[in-house]
Amino acid sequence: MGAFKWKALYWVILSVAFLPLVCSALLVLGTNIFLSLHDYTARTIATGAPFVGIANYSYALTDSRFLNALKVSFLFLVLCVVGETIVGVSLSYVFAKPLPRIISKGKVLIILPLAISPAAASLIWRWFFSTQYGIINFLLALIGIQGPDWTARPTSALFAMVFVDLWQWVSFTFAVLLAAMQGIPAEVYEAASIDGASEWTKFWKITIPFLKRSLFQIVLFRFALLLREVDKPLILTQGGPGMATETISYWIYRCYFWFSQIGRAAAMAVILLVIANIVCETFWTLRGRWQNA
Amino acid sequence: MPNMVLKTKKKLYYTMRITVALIALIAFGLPIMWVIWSSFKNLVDVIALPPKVIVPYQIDNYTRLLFRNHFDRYVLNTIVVAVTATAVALLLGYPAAYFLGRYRFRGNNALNYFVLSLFMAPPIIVALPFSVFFSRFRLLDTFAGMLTAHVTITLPLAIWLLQGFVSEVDVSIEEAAALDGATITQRMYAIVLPNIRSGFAATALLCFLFSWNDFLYGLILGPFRMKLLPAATIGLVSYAHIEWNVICAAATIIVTPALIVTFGLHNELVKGFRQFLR
Repeated sequence: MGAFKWKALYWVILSVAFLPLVCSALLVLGTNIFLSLHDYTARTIATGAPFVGIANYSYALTDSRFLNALKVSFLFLVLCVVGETIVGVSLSYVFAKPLPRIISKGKVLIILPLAISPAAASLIWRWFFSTQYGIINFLLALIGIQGPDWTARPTSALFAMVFVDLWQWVSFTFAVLLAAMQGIPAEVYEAASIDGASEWTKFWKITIPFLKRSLFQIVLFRFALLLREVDKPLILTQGGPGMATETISYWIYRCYFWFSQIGRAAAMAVILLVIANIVCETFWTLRGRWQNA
Repeated sequence: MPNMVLKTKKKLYYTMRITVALIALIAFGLPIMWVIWSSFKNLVDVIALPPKVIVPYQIDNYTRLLFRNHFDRYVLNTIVVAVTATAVALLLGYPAAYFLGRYRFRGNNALNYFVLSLFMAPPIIVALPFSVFFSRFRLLDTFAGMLTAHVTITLPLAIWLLQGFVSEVDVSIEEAAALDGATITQRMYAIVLPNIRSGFAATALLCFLFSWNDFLYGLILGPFRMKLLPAATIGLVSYAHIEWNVICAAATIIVTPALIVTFGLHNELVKGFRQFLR
């Protein structure tokens, strides 16, 4: 085959797609690093700012608000991933077994939240969580519980954010795991049943080991996507009360667009990029290992 | 006797499963239906609890949103940007994905990792330099600027997903075609592409959804003329007096593609999302 001619061709085709991507990646990286090394603020952006070295980085790493944002992000992330995994596994377990046809067909409803805009979801749930007009506190009142002012207290505000995230992304875990579960051969379960294994044993000894790879991938993938969380703090809680729900992406956004601390925001963005890259790298390494296995 | 116990136990499990499944369907499906339903009520009825069923229904919320709050403009912006960003991603992304998925060459892995890391990078990292850069070169609030930003979402996504679909196609079909003298372009578009039709559709769908649903780029790079729907909703909540009926109408408009996709193209949607983890 004309291998030589193709080689030339595929480099041309690849560069058509990758040139814009590489350019924008370099632009993003370069601008971020450049800004982060200078004392850029709203005042100095037009005139040029003095070089300050790593001052912005050392500021960020000692700034209590940035450290708080890291902490909030981490807490949010762990709660979301754990919640998504537990709810996703249980739901897909329920749906992988025989159910009445109409209910089984209805599972599209579980996928629905996944397709809607996170901004719209936050907006909807802001209404549902609101003290005066919210359906949640109304329902709680029906069973005799006085619901809190959800977004006014640190714990409940974070809970509300996690809840909305679960509502959207359990769908993802569910869709991936359901397909994986349906791929488990029925004979394995039958053999276990003959040996007298209980439902619980079968779940832990058969289902979970089969899903291990999918679970790892889901967790890492969600880790990466949760770092970008901006819409929920921005729409649902405004980062508050205080800074209880200020995630790292949201704090960078505020630093840049509200306080015009451009240099510092860029330094934090670079730090975030490093974190995101570590997660991505882990995902990639594990993926390679599984593919070779 | 143990048989009886086993049978009741089985029945109990079955009932439990149905209960959990029903609760899940309500929890995930109802909120959106609720919002759509509420979008046709007036403000007083919308916030009435317990909710009223027999109320004067109206489309006033939509007309106000579209014609007084300029959402007609934002809807158009969002559609044009999402469609163009999807088209660009598929046009540029498919050939690249084909080569990445078909041929092992030096740099293949590096390019793959690059695509993945672009897709996984938090958008704020991209939005910040873009905003600085765009304001200097007068690209802020323009179609070209917004499209560029959205292509940085859709193109890596398209390459990542399509490549997986391409590599799932059996090579032997292509080899047979090559023996018959098919050129590389013919193999790419006339042989492999029809074979990954549903994967291609799934990719297009996800590109469109990710662009349509994007919030941050819309918020930062399109402050006025180029405003996009999800970001435009911010303007509705910033007042002290929130008109939930209008917000419900806005939310309904934003979730419309999601509804069409989930109920009409549900298999493609799930296929696309599963391919994330290929």
